[in-house]
Amino acid sequence: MNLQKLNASFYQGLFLVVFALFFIAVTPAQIDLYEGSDALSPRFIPYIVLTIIGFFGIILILQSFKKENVETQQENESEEGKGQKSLRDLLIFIGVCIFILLASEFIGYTFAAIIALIATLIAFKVRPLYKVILIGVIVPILIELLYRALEIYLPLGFWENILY
Amino acid sequence: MMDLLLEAFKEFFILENLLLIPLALIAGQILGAIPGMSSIMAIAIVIPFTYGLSPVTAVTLLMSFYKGGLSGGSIASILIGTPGTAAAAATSLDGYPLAKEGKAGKALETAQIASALGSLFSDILLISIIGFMAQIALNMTSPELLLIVVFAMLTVGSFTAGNPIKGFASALLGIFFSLLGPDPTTGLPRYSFGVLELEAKLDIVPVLLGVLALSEVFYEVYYKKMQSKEGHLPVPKNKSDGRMTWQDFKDTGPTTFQSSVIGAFIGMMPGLGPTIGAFLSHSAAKRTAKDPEKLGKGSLSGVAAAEAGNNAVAGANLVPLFSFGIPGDAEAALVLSALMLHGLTVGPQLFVSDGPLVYGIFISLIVADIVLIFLGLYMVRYFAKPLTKISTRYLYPTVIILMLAGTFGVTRSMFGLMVLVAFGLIGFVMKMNGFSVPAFIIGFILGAPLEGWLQRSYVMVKNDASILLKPSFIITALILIGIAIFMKKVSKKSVPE
Repeated sequence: MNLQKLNASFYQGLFLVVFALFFIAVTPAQIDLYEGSDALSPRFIPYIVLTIIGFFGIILILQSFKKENVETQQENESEEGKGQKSLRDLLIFIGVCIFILLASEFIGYTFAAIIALIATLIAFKVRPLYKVILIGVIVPILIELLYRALEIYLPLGFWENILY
Repeated sequence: MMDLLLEAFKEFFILENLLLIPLALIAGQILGAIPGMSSIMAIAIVIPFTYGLSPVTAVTLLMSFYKGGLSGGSIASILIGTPGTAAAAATSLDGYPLAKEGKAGKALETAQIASALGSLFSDILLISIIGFMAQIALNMTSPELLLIVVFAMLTVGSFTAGNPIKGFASALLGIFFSLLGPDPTTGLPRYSFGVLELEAKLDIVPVLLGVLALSEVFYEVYYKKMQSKEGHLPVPKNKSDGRMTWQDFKDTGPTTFQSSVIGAFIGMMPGLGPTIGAFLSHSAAKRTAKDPEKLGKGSLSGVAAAEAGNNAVAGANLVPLFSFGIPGDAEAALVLSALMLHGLTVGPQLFVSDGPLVYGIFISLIVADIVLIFLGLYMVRYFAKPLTKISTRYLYPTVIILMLAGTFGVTRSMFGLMVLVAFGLIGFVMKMNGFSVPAFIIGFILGAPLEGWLQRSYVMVKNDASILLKPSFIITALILIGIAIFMKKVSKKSVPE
C-alpha cells in the first residue's frame, strides 16, 4: 500500500473509529447501570451513537481507497496549497485565549486582556505604537465598565485585595 | 387573538426596544460590511449582553443584529468582490461587475431594498403560519416528534457538508457531546471522568460561541484573511448610476418577490440555509428575469434575487424553531441559546405559556425590517466605502477579548472559558476537515430532546405497539419523506456554477 496516496479521508475516518472505540471502551466505567426502570438503559443511546460514528469512520476509510477520491483530494490539496496559510498567526490567537484563561484568576481579566491585546497588535505589526497602546488599554477597560454596568463582574485577581 | 396581539404590542412597544432596533441594525451592518466578519460572529458578540435584558428585547437585539449583518454583508460583496460569507457570494456575482461599471451605488441600494423586502416577506409568512404549525406540534405525541427530530438531523447532516457521511458524523458528534452530564432518567453522571464540572450538562453558550464564532476567527486567521482590500472603483457616469431609480425598482420587483418566496421556503427546511436560498433564487431569476443574458455578468435583477433569497431565509428559519424547537441553522441556534439563557424552552409550548412574548418577538422582526429599509439606504449612501477599509487586524483580537468576557459573564466560571476555547478548537478542526459545524450544533441542541422523546416513545411502544400504526404517525412519516424528496431536488438545482 502506498501510504502517500492515503488521503485526508483516511485519517478523518481513523479518528472517528478511534474516538468511538475509546468511548465505547470507557462507557461501562463512566455510566452506571440503574436497575428497576422501565426506560432504556443509560448506556443505550451512547452505545448507539458511538457505534454509528465508528461505522461512518469505517465508511470514510473505505472511501479513501477509491481511486477517484485520492485524485480529487490531491487536486484539492494543490488548489488549497496556492492560498496562504499562517500557523504562526493561528498559534498567536490560540495563545491569547490560553493566556487569558490561565492569567485571569491571578492578575484579573482586564489586566490579562490588556497584555494579550497589546502583544497581539504588536505581533501583527500594527503601528504607530500609540495606536497599539490606545486600543490595547481602552478596549479591555471599556469592556470591564460595560459588564459592570450590566452587573457582571469579571475576575479581578490580585486587584481584588487592592481595590476592596 | 386580538387580546394576544394587544398584549404582544405592550411587550414590544417599550423605549428600550425602539432604541435598540436602529442601534443593533447599524452595528450589525457595520460588522457585516467589514470583510471577514460574519453575521455569526456579530451575533456571538452580542449574546452575553442579552443576559440582563427581557426575552423580547434580547431576541429583538439579536435578530436586528443578524438582519443588519446580512444586509451589511452585501456591501463588501459589491464594493470589493470579497463576500464575507458563502451566502453573500451570490450577490458578488452581479454586484461586483456592476460596481466596476461605476454602478456601485445603484447595486448597493438595490441590495438593501431587496434584503429588507425579502426579510419582511419572510417575517409576514412566519407570523401567518406559525400559530397553525404550533397547533399541529402541540397535538403530536413523542413518536411523531422523535421522527421529526431524526428527520431534521438527517437533513442537516446531508445538506451542510460536502460529503454527507461527514455531515451525519458531525450531527452524531453533536449528539454525543450533549450526552455529557446527568442521564435524564436516572440522574447519574455520564463521561464525567471524575471532573466535578463535567457532572453537569455542558453550557450551551460557550459550546455555541466556541464552535461557531471562535472557530471562525481561528479559521480566518489561519487562512490569512486578516487584511482588507481597498476597492478602486470608477465613479458613476451620471446621477442615476449612483442611485436606485423607480424604474429599477419596478424592473427588479418581480424578481425580488419571487426570490423572497423561494428564500422563505428554503428557510423553513432545516439545514438548507441562506446560501442555498441565495443561489437557488439567483438561478431561478436566470429563467424569469427581464435580462437573463446579463445575470452573473452585472445585472440588478441578479443582485436583487441573491439578496432577497438570502434574507428571506432569516425569518422563515424561526418557523421550525418556534413550532418544533428545531433550529434550522446556526443563527437560529444562537437565538435559541439566548432564549434558553432566560430559562425559556423554545417549542410549541411557548405559545401556550408565553404567547404575548412570542408575538412580541415577531412584531419586533417586522419593525426591524421597516427600519432597515430606510437605515440601510442611509448607511450605504454615506458609510459603505469606509466600512470596507476597516482592517480585521484590530477586530479579531478585540472579538476574542469580547467573546471570552461575554462567556464568563454568562457562565460565571473559568470552566465556561475552557469549554469555549476547547470547542473553538474542535470547530476549527472540523472546518479544516470538511465536517459540518451547523450539523454539529443542531445535533448538540437536539440531543437532549431526542433522548427524551426516544425514552418516552420506547415506553409507549412497549405498552402498546399499535401506536406506530396510528394515522397521525403514518401521515407525519409520509410528509417528511415528501419534504426530503423536495429538498433533495432543490439542493441539486442550487449548486453554484
